[in-house]
Formats: sequence, structure tokens, C-alpha cells
Amino acid sequence: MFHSILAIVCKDLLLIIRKPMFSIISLLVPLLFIIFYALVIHTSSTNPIVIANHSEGPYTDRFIDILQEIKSVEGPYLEIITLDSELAFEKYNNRQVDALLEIPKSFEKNLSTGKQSALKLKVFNINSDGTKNYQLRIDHALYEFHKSLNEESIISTNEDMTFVQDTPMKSYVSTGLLIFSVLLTSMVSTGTLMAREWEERTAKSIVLTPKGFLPLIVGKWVTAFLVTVVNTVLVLPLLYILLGYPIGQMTTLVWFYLLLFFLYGSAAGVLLGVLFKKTLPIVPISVVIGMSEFLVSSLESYIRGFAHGGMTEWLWRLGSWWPSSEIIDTIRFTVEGFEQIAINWGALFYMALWVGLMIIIALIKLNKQLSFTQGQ
Amino acid sequence: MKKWQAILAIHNRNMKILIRQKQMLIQPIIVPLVLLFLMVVIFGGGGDNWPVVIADESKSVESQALMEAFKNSESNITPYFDLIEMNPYEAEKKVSEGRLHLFIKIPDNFVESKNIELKTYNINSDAMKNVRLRVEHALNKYFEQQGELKVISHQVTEQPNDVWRSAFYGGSSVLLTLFLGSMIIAANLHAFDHENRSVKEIILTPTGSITAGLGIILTSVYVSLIISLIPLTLSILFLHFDFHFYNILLVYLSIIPLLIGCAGIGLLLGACFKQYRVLQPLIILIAIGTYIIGGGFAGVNMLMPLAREIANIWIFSVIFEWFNPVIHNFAISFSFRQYTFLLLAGILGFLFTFIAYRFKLRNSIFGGQ
Repeated sequence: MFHSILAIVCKDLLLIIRKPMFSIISLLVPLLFIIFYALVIHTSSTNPIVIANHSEGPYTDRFIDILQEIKSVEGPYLEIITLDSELAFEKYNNRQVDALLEIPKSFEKNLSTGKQSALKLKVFNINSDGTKNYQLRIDHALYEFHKSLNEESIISTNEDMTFVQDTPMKSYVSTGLLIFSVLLTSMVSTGTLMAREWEERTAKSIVLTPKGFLPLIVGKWVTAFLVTVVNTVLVLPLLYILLGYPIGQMTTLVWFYLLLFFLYGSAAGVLLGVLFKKTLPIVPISVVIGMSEFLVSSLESYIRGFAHGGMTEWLWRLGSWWPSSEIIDTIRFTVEGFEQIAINWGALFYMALWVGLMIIIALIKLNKQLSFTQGQ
Repeated sequence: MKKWQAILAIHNRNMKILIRQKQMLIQPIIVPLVLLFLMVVIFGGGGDNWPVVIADESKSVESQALMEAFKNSESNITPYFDLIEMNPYEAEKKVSEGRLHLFIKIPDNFVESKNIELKTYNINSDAMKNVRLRVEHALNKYFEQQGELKVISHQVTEQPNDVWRSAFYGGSSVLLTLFLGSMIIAANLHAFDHENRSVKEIILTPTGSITAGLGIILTSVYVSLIISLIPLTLSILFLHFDFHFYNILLVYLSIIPLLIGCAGIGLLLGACFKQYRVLQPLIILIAIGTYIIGGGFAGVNMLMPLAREIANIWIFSVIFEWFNPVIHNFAISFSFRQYTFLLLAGILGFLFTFIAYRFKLRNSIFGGQ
């Protein structure tokens, strides 16, 4: 048994060494996806804007200071590209920026004399999300400005937060990206290693082996595991550098959960490989499963709060029944230091059951697929 | 004439392959559609209304005015709050469980204290930005109604109506299908000859192997245009997508040279890597990467400085940056510079095809297949 597994692993590793392009690309896909996502995630916190300031004086200075200072735990709310009026209009008219805030000349005088002053917010409204984000940020600046003018006149808020502090969005998505990377690599590696046996016409040899199918599956898993380990070793420093992921806080149980996700991905990969017998559909299906896990399961605790009605609630319920969302949250809370990790036996059992079920279906299907009446 | 017949024959063969090998068609259809579905459902395709429970324990004139401010707070497309009826005890429990992000209590001493209480499930900074800034928007509205707001802001938008976020994703999905479709279909059809050992027949054709490449370009462009009608129809039906006939026609006609360029790149990649398993992740990554960073998810202007710099260098970002404004009627034509670029992309597509067949394919066969 052991020798059979070793033979399968050696054969697959030799193939990887001889034709490394696929393995290199498999490793690159999650890495580049993480880089892309890291570059775009800042849109949730910081929005670029230009300010055409026509006013001068202490009130104006105070308001501009507030515009520059407003921020979340993740970063400033506004990236002020320029305060120069001429340049601001030039950039806005040339579509180099989507929003322009105009502070009128009368701003200072009106405030000094107790009159109301109106700012003009020009927005390129091609995406309602961007328009909303600019409106809310300027409203936040106005709220803070009024607070600085007369704190007693405004309505204040007392906030009771569930967690000690907000988790920055980039930290929140990091765990999901790590899981995406483990899942995708394990699924694609195992799936294509399985399908290769049919594509390279070696499936018949498997039928003829007296050892059964188990060494084949375990052998494929071991090779896929080695590829996934290499991938994780590359992904973790990238997550640390780009998104500040606290890799030092990954406990033994977090690694155990990652192993569980590897088994889940590999089981799905075996099933896909056996079902399709071709690499052609495996990669896009794996990408779709990986993306769905990332967007639905890893964001479940975020979606939960606004999933009231419609498709969003339907999708959230689907995601919340899936075992991975609970495990991802446990990993997230542990590495962020929110709570002590405890084995989530329910989710663990559910996930193990799911992995087992996929393997059983794959074995049944494998048994049917590997029966030849003629040549391959 | 013979060349044209050969190109059409290859096109007919390709169409039969695509109909028989449905996996080749599923990729460019399913990837953009799944991405569209998930983006719309998760990132607020339904509008800007955030579920919240508000309990007014003050029952005063002031607190009722504040309640009205919450009810009337709205973005350009929908109200900012979806007010849910629930008793305060249950609402607090729902917030603790994360089933709600925000519970607002207007206490009985509101008139004297001028203070409201918020209970939040602060799972991440994005959720909290959305709830806290909405609350402040409503408070500003209340001050404005009371005549106490010293500075107000007036919004001036480029078009009278905002493009819904879901419609924006819909438009991007159409462009993604066109871009991904032309590239991946061309690459897969090229790889098909390798994987099914028909390269030698292509090389031996008396009309020149390049006709096979031109036939693949014809199929890729034609099929990608057809399959892009799926996300377009879904967007019109379900995603608040305003259909501007002239603009869509202009987009579909102007994008053809770009699709030829993409198909040419697909052929070149197919000639270099030859196998589906190498080509697919590479092309899907190029497509999804461009979607994320090149203006499909959010406009390039909304990205961080480094991402903007990368998007400016990343040539494929023109697909979303140039065509989305036309799709949504923010522009009614392309500039001379843009038309020149598109034409150049088409010429490059033919050049890539020539390279793929003249050099790569011929060099790949030495003996039997």
C-alpha cells in the first residue's frame, strides 16, 4: 500500500518537474488574486476627491483639517488629491477623479455672520455606490465640523460595540483569501492530477493494479498536499505584507483547520476529476467554487447583518448552513485575538461528513468509470 | 475566394466543436454570471437601505422629528434605512448575534440629554462605515430641518439619475463576457487541435494554416458577442439596467476590433501553452484580475494610488474604463484617440494570429502526432 502511494506521488512529481508550467500557473493564480484584491479593498475605506477651495480663514482651515482627518480604523475616508481650485476642476473635467467638493468664497463670511453656507459636491454618478460613499463622507465631515463649532448643540451618540474594536476590512478578508488559496490550489491540483489519468491514457493501468483505488486517491492527495503547502508558504508572507495578516497568531488549531480545508478541496477535486475525466471544465468550476466560498462563506458574518429579505437572505441562509463559514470565523477571531479558539465540534463533524461523502461518491463513480470494454 | 471558403469552413467546424464540447462555452458564460450574481447579492444590488431597528422611548415631538429624519434619509436610489419592527430586547439580542448591525435607541430623556444610544455588531470597518455614516447623515438631516445646520452640501451629479450599482456590475459583466469569451474560446479552439491531434492536418492545408487562425477569430468574436447577450438581458430584466439602444449598438460595433485583439492574444497563448489546463487558469486570471483592478468592480478613479498606476499601465483596463461610460450613456461616442487604439488592437490581433500559426504551430511538429 505504502509503496503504491509512493509510486503515484513520485510519478506525479516527476510530471510536475518535467512540465512545470501548469504547477507554476496554479501557484500564481491565488497569489495574483490576493494582490488584485489587496489593491481594490482600499475602496471600502478611502475615496479620492479633489477640493476646489475658494475661501480663506479660520473656519475654512478647520473644515479642511476635518476633511483631511476623518478616518476609520482602516485609513482616511478621503484621499484629497488637490486643494487647488483650478487643478481640481481640470482633474474632474478630464475624468481623472469622480468627485469634486467646491467650497464657495462666501463660506468664511457666512459662518462669521451666522448665515448658512452651501457646499457643492459634484459627482460622476456612474455607480450609485460611489455617489453614496461621497455623500456619506461629506456628511460625516459636516457632522464633525458642527461638533467642533458647538458640541452642545448637536445630538451625540453613545455606542455599545459587540467587539472591542472594528476589524479593518483588509484583515477581515485576509482569512477568506487564505482559505480561497488553500481550497483552489488543492481542488485544481487534485482534480487535474486525477483527470490526467484519462487524458494521458493511463487509466487502464489503474484498473489492472491489484491494490485497488485507495493508493491512487491517497497518492494524488499527497502530491496535491505538497503543492498546497508550497502555495501556502508563498501566500502567507504576501498576506502579511499586503494586508498585515497576523501570521504570528496562527495557532496549531488554525493550522489544523487549514488542513481540513485542504481535505475539503482535495475531496472536491477528486470528485471533479472523476466526474469529468478532463481538465477542461475542472479549472473554471474550481474557480467558481473557490470564489463562492470566498464571497459567501468567508463573508457570512458580514452578510448576516444586512441579509433581510430577497436574494441576499436566501444566499446568506445557504452560506450559514455550510460548515466552512463557522470555521472561517473561528480562524478569523483567533488570529485577530478576539477570543480563545475552541474546537467547533459541530462544524468540524459537518465538514468531515461532507469530505467523506464526496470521497464515497468519487469512489463509486471511479468504480464505474474505470471499467473498459476496449482500448482507451 | 478559396481562402474565404476555408475560413468559413473552419468557422463551421469550430461551431460544431463548441456545440458538441459544451465545456468550452460554459466557461465564458458561467464565470461572469457567477461573479455578477455574487457581486449583486453581496455588495448591495438591492439598493442602499440598511436594516436597522429604532426604538423611540422618548415619544416626544423632538424624537418624532428625529424618527422622521431617519425615515426620510435617502441616497439617490433608495432610502438609507430599512426600518424593521422589533421589540428592543429582541433587537439587542439580534445585534449580539450579528443578525443586525445596528440598533438605535432614542432614550426617554432624549430632549434633555440630546443623546441617542447605538448598539452595533462591529464585525468589520466596512459595515461600521455604512451604519455610522448613515446615522450621521440622518442627524444632519434633523439639524437641517431644525434650521441649525450652518453648512449644508448640495449634490450635483453628471447625469440626472445614478446608475445602480447592480446595473454597473451588469454592464461590467457584459464586457467581461465579451473579453473573456473571445480570448478563452480562441485559446481553447487552438488547444483543441493539439489535444485532439489535428495540428498536422491544419499545417498541411493548401490554403495556409493561417486560415485556421482567422476562422478561430471569426468564431470567437461571433460567439462572444452572442453569449454576452445573456448578462445583458439579465441586467435589463433584473438589475435596473437602462437600455440605451444607440449606445449598446455603438459598444457592440466598436468593441469588435478589440475582441479580434483579445482572440489574437488567446491564439498566441494557445500556441505557447497548448494545453487547456495551463491556458484556462491564466486567461481566467487575466479576465478576473482586469475586472477587479481595471474598472469592472469599481471605476479606476476610485482605487488607491498604486492601483490607479497599475490600471493605467494594464492595457486591458480600457475595456471597462472606455466602454462602461458609453453603455450607461455617460458618453455617446469615442474619441479619435480611442478609435485609433481600437483599430490598432484589431491589427495586433491579426498579427498575433500570424505569429501563432506561422512560427509557433509549424515549429511544434517534427514527426508524427
